[in-house]
Amino acid sequence: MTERWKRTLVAAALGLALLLPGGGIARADSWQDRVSAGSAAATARGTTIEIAMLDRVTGQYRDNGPAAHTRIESASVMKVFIAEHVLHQRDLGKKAVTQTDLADMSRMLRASENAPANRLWVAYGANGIIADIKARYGLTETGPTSNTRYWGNTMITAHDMVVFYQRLMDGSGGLSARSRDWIVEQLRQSVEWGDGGRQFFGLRDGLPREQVISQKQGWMCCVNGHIYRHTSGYAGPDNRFIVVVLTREPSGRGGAHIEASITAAVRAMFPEGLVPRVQGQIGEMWVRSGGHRGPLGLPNTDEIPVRGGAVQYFQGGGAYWSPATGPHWVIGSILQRYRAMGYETGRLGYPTSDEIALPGGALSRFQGGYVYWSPATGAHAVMQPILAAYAAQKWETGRLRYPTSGEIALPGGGVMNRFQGGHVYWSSRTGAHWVIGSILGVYKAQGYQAGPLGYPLTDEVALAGGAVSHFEGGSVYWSPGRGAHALRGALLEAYQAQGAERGSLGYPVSDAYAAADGTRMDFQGGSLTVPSASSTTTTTAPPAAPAPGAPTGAGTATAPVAPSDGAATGGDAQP
Amino acid sequence: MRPLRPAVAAALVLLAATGCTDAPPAARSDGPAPATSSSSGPAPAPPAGEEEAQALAPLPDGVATGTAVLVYSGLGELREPFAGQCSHDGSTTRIEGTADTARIVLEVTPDGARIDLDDGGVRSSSELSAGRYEVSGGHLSLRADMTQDGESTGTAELEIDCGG
Repeated sequence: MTERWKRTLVAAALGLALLLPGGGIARADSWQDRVSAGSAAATARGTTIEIAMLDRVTGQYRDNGPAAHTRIESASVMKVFIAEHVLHQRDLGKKAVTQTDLADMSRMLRASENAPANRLWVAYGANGIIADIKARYGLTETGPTSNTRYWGNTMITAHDMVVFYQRLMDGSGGLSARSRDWIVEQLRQSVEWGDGGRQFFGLRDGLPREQVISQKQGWMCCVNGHIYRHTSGYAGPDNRFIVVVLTREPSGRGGAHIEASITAAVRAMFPEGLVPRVQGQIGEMWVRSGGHRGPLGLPNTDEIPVRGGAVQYFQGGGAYWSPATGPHWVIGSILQRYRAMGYETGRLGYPTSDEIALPGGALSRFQGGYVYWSPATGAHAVMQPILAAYAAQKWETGRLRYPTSGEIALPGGGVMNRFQGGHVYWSSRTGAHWVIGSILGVYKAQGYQAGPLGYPLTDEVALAGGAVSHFEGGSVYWSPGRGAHALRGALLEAYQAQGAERGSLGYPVSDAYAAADGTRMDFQGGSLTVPSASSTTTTTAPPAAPAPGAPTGAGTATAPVAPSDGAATGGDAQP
Repeated sequence: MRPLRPAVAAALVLLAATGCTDAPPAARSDGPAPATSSSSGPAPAPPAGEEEAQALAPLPDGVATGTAVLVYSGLGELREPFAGQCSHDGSTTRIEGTADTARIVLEVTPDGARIDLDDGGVRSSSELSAGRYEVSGGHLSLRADMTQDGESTGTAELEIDCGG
């Protein structure tokens, strides 16, 4: 489908949404909830209210059902019709609009002054103005005043006013961009006091945090026993949102009551104090996460298209969406880590979860890995394939606990991650394996993967009475009370030939050391000596009685594990 | 004619004098905007009463002709020739008649003044404030603010000759 066709279909859908009455009432969504909340707030005060709103970017239109399609006296809201008609006549070259006319219309729109409206209403044909506007803007619900003397009895609906404002903005009503911009500028400069009253009820009082409001207000009393307050116009510096709220109640309640009603309605619709610029799936997620009271707070930007998806920034963080992942929010230190790694364009890609609270920390999942945070460690990413090894160790609940570093590239193409409980190393030859505790201390002493041990070939393996980690260049055995000791080469071969820890030698009790007859290593059950440049290995009697905790052979109930020690925590100098 | 100008002038002098004095700090500070139009804004003129009723007492009974201009905020205006009757009932002056399609009734009593409009489906009843209630012979020149239920509804201007 071409972009042109897409645009055509979107425009057609928007047109249908605006023209079909009552379209929004059955939808249960956040925008409809807002309209319902506004309607309920005014209705609870006994105020008749009609509400319609449109997001011009997304085309989402919502109203409060049949009420929004019920005719109500326009009061001064219709002055925008007069201005449009006059300027359209100028656009067509049919009438010359003088500076006096412009000054009058400016006062009519900014301060809602009546005298210019009275003059222009008569001069430009009274109900003929309404007929012209209805025809050009397709206002099917708007009607003329029953008494042409009183333009304020022009009959409007909230729905039709949204249609008018929409088509005023997109030019489909026939007004030139120059004339439109002039009108909108006047609405933007609406003054607080006009026509003997304060005209900041509704949108201005209800949206104190909105940057720009271009409004046309209406108020009237006490005609046929009713008092009226209307608020209408555009919200946002880009005039993105059109909001129309029209109210009426018995005049005996006074102006303060109905103004409180209409402002309460706007506040109920937008408790954030502005029209939140959230939409679509990100908008729905934002609402589910608590809206402006949730972790994201208020939006700082509109939704921004990015490669493969979209992002929207909020006070508390960012919301990211892609077709594959859906919308998810990222905040705080994890967001900082995400930023440091290039956001969605980096290896992490798009988030696949919101932030997940964990015991002692938090986690956000991404397409390319996870980012963990805890107060003690900060936020660090764990990427595949190390992530798989971390998962096998039950993530942060296992012995590795939280990561204390991100992925660290190692010479030769390998990588490693530090964790509170140990390290995980990966190379293409060996895969990913974790090293912890005292064995890690020995590994460190040996120069990590750059030393003679090279990369780990296994995770730590629990043994009867101890543990072992095997490396490319040897093995490190550990048992309680005797510590961890590395065996390499002929010593390791001889040890394994004698059954390793299950044989008579038991666990090593010393590192390899130089002796008169070669290289020697002591064990619970004796010693092994490898002569220099000789393949003969000598086994001697045990130097001492087995220490408590010595292996008792197969069937030992619980395999002890190497304890963590200071050498195994973050802060290790890496090769 | 009973001109009210001395009273108005005195009020203006008083207002001017007040304006030259220091306002209390609270009044000068830039506080938050008022919540409703009814809670602040320009002080409305006091309602018409005994003084205005006395001012209109000399008007002769009989045919009334002239011009009526009723400007309603947010609604529109009636600006038409007026024809009707002037009458008195005790201290009450009543002028009623038509202006084009509109029926207008003005009643000024010591307890207040009000003007009613019924014009092709538009009905409005407003109290009149003090203002210009000048009578010269059989001519009334009236200009006053209209209010209803504490709400400003517009202004009324009548230039009426009573007694034909």
